[in-house]
Amino acid sequence: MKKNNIVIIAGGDGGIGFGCVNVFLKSGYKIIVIDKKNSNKKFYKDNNIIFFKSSISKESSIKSILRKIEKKVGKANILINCIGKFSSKKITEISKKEINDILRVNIIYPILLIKNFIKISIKEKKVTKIINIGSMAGQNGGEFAGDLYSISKAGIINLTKSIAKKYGKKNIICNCINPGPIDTPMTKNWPKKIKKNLISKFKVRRESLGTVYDVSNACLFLASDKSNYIQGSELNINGGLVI
Amino acid sequence: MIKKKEKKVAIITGGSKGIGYACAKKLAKEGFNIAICSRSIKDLKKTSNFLKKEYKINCFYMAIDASKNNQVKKFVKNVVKKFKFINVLINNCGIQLNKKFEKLTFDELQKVIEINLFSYIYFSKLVGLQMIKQKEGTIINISSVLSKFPLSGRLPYSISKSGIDALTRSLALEWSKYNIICNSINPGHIYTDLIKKDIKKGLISINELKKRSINNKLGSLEDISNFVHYLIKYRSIYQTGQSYFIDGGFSIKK
Repeated sequence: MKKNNIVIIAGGDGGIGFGCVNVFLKSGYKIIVIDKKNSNKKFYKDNNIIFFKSSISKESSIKSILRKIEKKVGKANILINCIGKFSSKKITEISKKEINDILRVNIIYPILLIKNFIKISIKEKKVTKIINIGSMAGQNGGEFAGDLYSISKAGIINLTKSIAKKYGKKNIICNCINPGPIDTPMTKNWPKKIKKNLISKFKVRRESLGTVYDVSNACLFLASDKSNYIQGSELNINGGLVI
Repeated sequence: MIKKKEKKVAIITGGSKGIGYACAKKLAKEGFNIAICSRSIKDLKKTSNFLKKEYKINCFYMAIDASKNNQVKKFVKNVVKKFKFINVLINNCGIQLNKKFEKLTFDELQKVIEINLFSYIYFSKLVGLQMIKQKEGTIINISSVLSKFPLSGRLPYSISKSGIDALTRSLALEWSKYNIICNSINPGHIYTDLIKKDIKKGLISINELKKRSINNKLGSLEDISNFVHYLIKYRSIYQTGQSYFIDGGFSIKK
């Protein structure tokens, strides 16, 4: 039992996020899920997981959630940011509204959450961890992934490094995991042809996309105190798609 | 098809000291049988005795010059003979050289590249042939942050480490189809005996090394062996061909 480990998983109701919930639960962490949807209500209740329904679009509600967490179980020392929205649209196809939408969910909301999380964390002397989920598309540009999605994920990768640089001295450790395509609700509706094409490009022999556990196990390692010298780093887990 | 053994087996080059020793301890604790090599029979004996006594495992060792292909061949042959199966190869052995390029002789350069890079290539090839037969294997190459962010006066070392990263990507490309995964770990400044010695001799300043990290800290041997352990414990075929930087922020500070 990791008594003092309290982890906030933003977007914890979705694919990779929920994978993290399962893995962290097994390792005895106290878990708080923040998500705009709640499709695992019973599971959260049965496992003593605290759930907040929020799209974290407003700073006031973020602050209130963080305050409530502190009151209920104490200050969280780990934040995993899995919120994100996928789009395959090219820059010439996308409307201004859709551009705004993606940048909001994938970049602006995470920034607001991370900002307020850091503000309450730097007062502490102990190590605080932030783990962001970037994307392979954020490193090399997207192929099937849309341009705005790729841009937003590039932003997450850069945000990771900036935070590590600026707040590393304050004991904030911030890293980023860049998954290749993973079998999640997000990729469920991708056209079969696209998936087949991606799988054929994997350097590894694989019948399907990556699993959420490929990513959530890495999250668990980065969250643990065994990885404290990894700072501002990118962990690529992509089936060898980017070599 | 070669039958899997109950106890897993890991080869660790340069396994009697420093990062290699830390990895050997970590894996022995997990119940791995260990095969180590280095140049010093004395260090090997000491390490092997410790591992056997502490973790109740089998340990094979042999003093070799890893930059000589025929000696590597002999070592690997003996390991296969003894353990029949090799699950993990950790390429780790290496030397440092601190000298400005204009003063560097080609013999010195060649020596560093032979030990730091060619030994990795020899081991990868010879152990890889066994792993291909097994249809399973994990190769971890200990590289360095200098592979991408060299330091002045460290040209031979940096070149050899860049070569290691390219070796990692190439192996992942060619051998993933045999269920062999290969990754590099790129440590920043780790507080090893080698560095301790250089600090003592006044060759490098500890503060200068520390300053290259964000938190003004050197890494520990466990920082590296913990990651090795993670890569092996959660072995994912989806995680291959990558260089993982464990450097306290060295690479982003540059």
